[in-house]
Amino acid sequence: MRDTKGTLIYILKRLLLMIFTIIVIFIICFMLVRLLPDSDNPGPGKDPTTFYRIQVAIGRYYEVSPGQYEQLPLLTQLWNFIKNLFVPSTYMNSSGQLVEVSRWGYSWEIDYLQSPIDILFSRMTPTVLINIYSMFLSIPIGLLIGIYMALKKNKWQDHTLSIIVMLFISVPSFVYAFLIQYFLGYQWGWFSPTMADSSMYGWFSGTMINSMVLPVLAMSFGSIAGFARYTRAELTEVLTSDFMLLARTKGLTRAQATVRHAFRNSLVPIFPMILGQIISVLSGSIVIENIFVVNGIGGLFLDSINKRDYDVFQFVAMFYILIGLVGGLVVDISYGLVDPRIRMGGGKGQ
Amino acid sequence: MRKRLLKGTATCALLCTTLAVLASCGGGVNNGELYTYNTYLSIAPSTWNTHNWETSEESYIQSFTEMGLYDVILNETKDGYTVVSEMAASYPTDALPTMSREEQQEAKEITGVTGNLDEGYIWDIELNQNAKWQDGTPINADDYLKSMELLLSPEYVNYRADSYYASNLVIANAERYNKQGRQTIEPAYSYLDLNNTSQSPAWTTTEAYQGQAEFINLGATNPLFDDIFSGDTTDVTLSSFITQFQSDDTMPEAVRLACYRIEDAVKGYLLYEHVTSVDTPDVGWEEVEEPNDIEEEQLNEDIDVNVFDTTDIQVRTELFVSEGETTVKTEKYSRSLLIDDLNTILSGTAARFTWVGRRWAYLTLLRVYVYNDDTVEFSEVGIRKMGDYKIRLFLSKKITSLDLRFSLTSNWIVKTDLYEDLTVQYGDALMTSYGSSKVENYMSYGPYKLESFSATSFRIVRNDQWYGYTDGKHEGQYQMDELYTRIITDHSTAMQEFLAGNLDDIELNRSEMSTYGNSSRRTTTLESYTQKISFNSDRPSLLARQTNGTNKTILANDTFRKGLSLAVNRNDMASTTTAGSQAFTGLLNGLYITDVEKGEMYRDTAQGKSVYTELYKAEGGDPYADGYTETALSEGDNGYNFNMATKYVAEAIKEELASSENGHLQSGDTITLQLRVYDSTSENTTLLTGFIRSEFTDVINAAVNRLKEEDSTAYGSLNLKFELQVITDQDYYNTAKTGRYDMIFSIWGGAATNPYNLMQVYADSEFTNCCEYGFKGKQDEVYLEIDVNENGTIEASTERRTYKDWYEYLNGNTLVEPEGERDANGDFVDPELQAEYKKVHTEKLNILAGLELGILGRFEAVPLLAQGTSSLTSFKVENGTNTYINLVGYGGIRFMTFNYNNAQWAKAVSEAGGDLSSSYRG
Repeated sequence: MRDTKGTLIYILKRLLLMIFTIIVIFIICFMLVRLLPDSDNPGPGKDPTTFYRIQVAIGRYYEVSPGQYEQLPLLTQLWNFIKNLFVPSTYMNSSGQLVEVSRWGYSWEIDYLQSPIDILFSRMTPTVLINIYSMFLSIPIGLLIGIYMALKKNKWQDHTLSIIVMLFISVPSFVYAFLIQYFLGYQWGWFSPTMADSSMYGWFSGTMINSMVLPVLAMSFGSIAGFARYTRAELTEVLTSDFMLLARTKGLTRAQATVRHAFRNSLVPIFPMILGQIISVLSGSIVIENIFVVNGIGGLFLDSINKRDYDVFQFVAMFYILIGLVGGLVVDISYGLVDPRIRMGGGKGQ
Repeated sequence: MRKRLLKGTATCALLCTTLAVLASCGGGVNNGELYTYNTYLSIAPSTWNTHNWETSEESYIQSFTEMGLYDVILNETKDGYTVVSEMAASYPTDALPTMSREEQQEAKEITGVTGNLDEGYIWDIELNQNAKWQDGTPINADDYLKSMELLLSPEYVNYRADSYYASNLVIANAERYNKQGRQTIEPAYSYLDLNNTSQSPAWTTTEAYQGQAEFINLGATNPLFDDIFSGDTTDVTLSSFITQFQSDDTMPEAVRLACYRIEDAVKGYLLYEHVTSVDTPDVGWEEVEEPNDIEEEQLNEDIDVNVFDTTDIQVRTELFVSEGETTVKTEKYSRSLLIDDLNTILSGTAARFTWVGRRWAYLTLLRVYVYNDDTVEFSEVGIRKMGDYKIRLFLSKKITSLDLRFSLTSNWIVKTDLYEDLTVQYGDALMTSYGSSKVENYMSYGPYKLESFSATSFRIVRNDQWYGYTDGKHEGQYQMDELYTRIITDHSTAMQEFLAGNLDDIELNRSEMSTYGNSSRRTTTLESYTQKISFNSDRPSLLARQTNGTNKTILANDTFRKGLSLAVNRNDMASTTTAGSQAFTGLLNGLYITDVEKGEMYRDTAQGKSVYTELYKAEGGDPYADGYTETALSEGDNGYNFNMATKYVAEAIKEELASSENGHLQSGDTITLQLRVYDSTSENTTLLTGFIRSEFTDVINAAVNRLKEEDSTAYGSLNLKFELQVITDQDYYNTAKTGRYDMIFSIWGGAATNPYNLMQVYADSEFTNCCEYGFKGKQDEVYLEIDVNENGTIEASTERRTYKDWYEYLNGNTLVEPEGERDANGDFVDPELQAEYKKVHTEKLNILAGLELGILGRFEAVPLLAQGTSSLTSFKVENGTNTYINLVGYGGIRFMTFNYNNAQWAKAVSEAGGDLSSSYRG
């Protein structure tokens, strides 16, 4: 890191920008989800008074006159939410202790009266495990296939693998998820077709790992294909560079030149991709989780929107936005770490 | 193909052989083997708190872990149902005969009964002394009282609080207790200190007056009028009060003018509010064009007097038109002018009240916010502890013993200490996470207890503390050891799990019916819901949404809607678009019971059957055939006759083309109807809407062709098209209430044991959920004749009422069937009682059928299907009965028996190659 000060200033700038971005996105998310059409009527069979009392309590409505309720202006709702985020209200519990309400509010539709933080983190484990296993599988296999394809460029091996790779990139994941579930799970019975219950088997038992194989495979196919294609493209380009000729003329074997020079150089754009994969272990796939009955967070985001579970949506959205922004920053910084020629924060004059 | 068949036959034979062997062994529960029932839900319950559940998923867990005071179960012969005591030790007993005179007097005060306290109001219930919570703590009367207190607490917001005052079972003062502390608008007169001599108002209670807002309401009554007029003034509103002054020539002109000015102001504002500034007027306001069009009942609206400062409302400044002018002079109104006018009016009563003339006097004619400080202690609520294991219910509505038992098949008790520990105060409300998220947040007391819970699965196991396992009254019941429920959102995954033997039931969708429709393991479960199309028949609101070149107003033509109804082949619709629903033409399907004790089904009664006969008595045959004579449509056709439909649609088109109404149908128009649905992409909706589109298009095209054939001169160049637009509208019920729609799929049903009350949906003008815009709000204006006494003539005084009046008469206190001992056939042992019952019951049936026929005959609510579902049940288990029995279905978990324990089932599935699909095919 030859220009530490410049890099630090760059990071600081990005952090400040990130805070600004978060605030803007926070407001946009808050507004947009509440602008979605939603019934202002409790619906058949529900006591309207109770419905509106809850709406008033959670700060969405106010009682204009007895029996007449109207939505609070969005800005007022936003202000109330922010106020509760920093200065949560308190109440006396049945033991006489003063307790704060959840800063991020509560779930009213998905998991009644649970804090969105608890809901998100209670569903994190299976998602993270599947993603990590998938990552451990897809990165080495993807890179190896990519290298092999580059080395066998334009030969039948390359063509065959390219077709397979394109197939996995083009076909939506749920298609091969269904296929592997049907054949490997139900027809041949090699693996459990749906994920086992963690409350019975724990996270690292044989049964649990067996039941995770299919979702992991389904998650991995696309990534393997992506890594293979990218690695092939980068490595092919590097292998045809002049310095590779120089390396060979210096007396290096093809393998030495490929590993020491070509592969390392081709990693410059691939490494951030891997980093992105690592960061995305926190995000779940709605389709895969539905098919394999995984108690993950894939569906939580969509569920919170569909059910208008506003507080859950707000927290989940902000969590992923934060992860995304931090991830983006880390990836950008990683360019400089991987390739010293890339300097952070360099202006035009530098 | 041959191989597959062989494999299927072999698997089936293997399963059947094993099943026969095992069945001969009998299914025991204590033989050391585990019997698990594996099932699934597509949505996880967000709570299972018995005080707060809303959806069917949210009541799922309690159906295993809780138990009502009584329960409806399969009878001994398994061909009907019976009511048994569970958490109660015995049937409820009417306490009145055992009560002393003092106790009866106290009971009258609690129940609010004004006349003689009759039987049916006070009930004693002995509690089951063996009942315990899953932790072994006994359940006693205190649990029932404290739980009821929490359920009804005005501080908690519990969706189920109204279960014990808004249904058949009305516990005295429960509603008052639950709703105390709410804010209302009341006449200020009741709260003003009239002896106050200062110029500022003084209030008799500081708690009552909430704020500064003052409201004027011409349609509301005021106790002031009791003091102004003598005699019965309960119906005197501010409007009728000022009308009297207006027409009283003895009143000073200033007073009369003030009356007119106030009327001008209020009506002017209402006109502005409801007609000018709102895109779509409220119900009844569409015909209001000028202040004089405003009806008396439309005046009943609280208007904040400050609006006169912010809205340009003109009022007259003179009582009579000046000479040379055509109208009276006007000025812009304001709050201060209103106050002056109110004080002027009061001056007309000057002689009677000392306070008239004071600055605040005007308030006596206005209304203000009042905090409802009608403090009700829980001790006033009609539930008492009569012993450690005995409670007494005081009801403010009479109920029969049978109805009471039915009402108490669900329970309200919660583990109160845990409930309170889990309480959160949010805003001004208390909420509890009891029965949500975690096992620790809940306490079971039924045959099973919750063992584990997560967002994708939960396990329910035997509750060893349940009395039923040792009381000798539940022999052969509850063979299941545990219930494992998974949340499987994806249907194809659930189907694969079922076929792999991992689930013991699966609900079939339409596309699976072709494969498994004939399976011996298929059962159909009917629901008390009728799926119908609700049409908008209101011409102005249809016209408002009509654009050039399109037509919607034809929907207001009764003959057209009738034609559309006859054009739907409901039999085909049920078989091609649904998995378990049945073609249906009524509002109340075959599940509704009109005599619970006798098991009399409404649709089996002569009255129930007469509805179809009457409605379709002239709709059979081919009206275009030579020698056509009026023919009844057969029941098997289920309201379908395409040629008759064509005839009606053609007639309607002719009428509309010839109409002089604004926006009437013209040649070249496209009849464009929008069908609003919750999710236009779901398989079920796509199939249904596709079917409707096809049927409607066919009949309209056929009608146009018929017209061209019949009269080529007049209709030779007739050009009409039809377009059905399917619109996704997740709030379509509310859209329908505003009239901004053409048609919706509306699905309605209710308690199968109370079909009479369900008529409210269609016959009560004030019932907000009525979806038939055009009829909605008019049920108290439109008359219906029903030959209640079956004498063949209509007596104008008793047999001609509005729809609303019929509904109220049917559900009021006049038609009350007697109670008494019945024989095995359900008839009363006492012949007098039997005669009385027969008379009242027949009248009720006649009115119910008359109302149903009346509503159906309007063709605004057009029933299509009686909803139902089809499921497959695994070979692992057997239902208590193979015939669907109303109220108890196939017997439920209570009577389910197991052919295999878990190990045996796993082995059987493995031997079948892990794929049972061939076994389940018919």
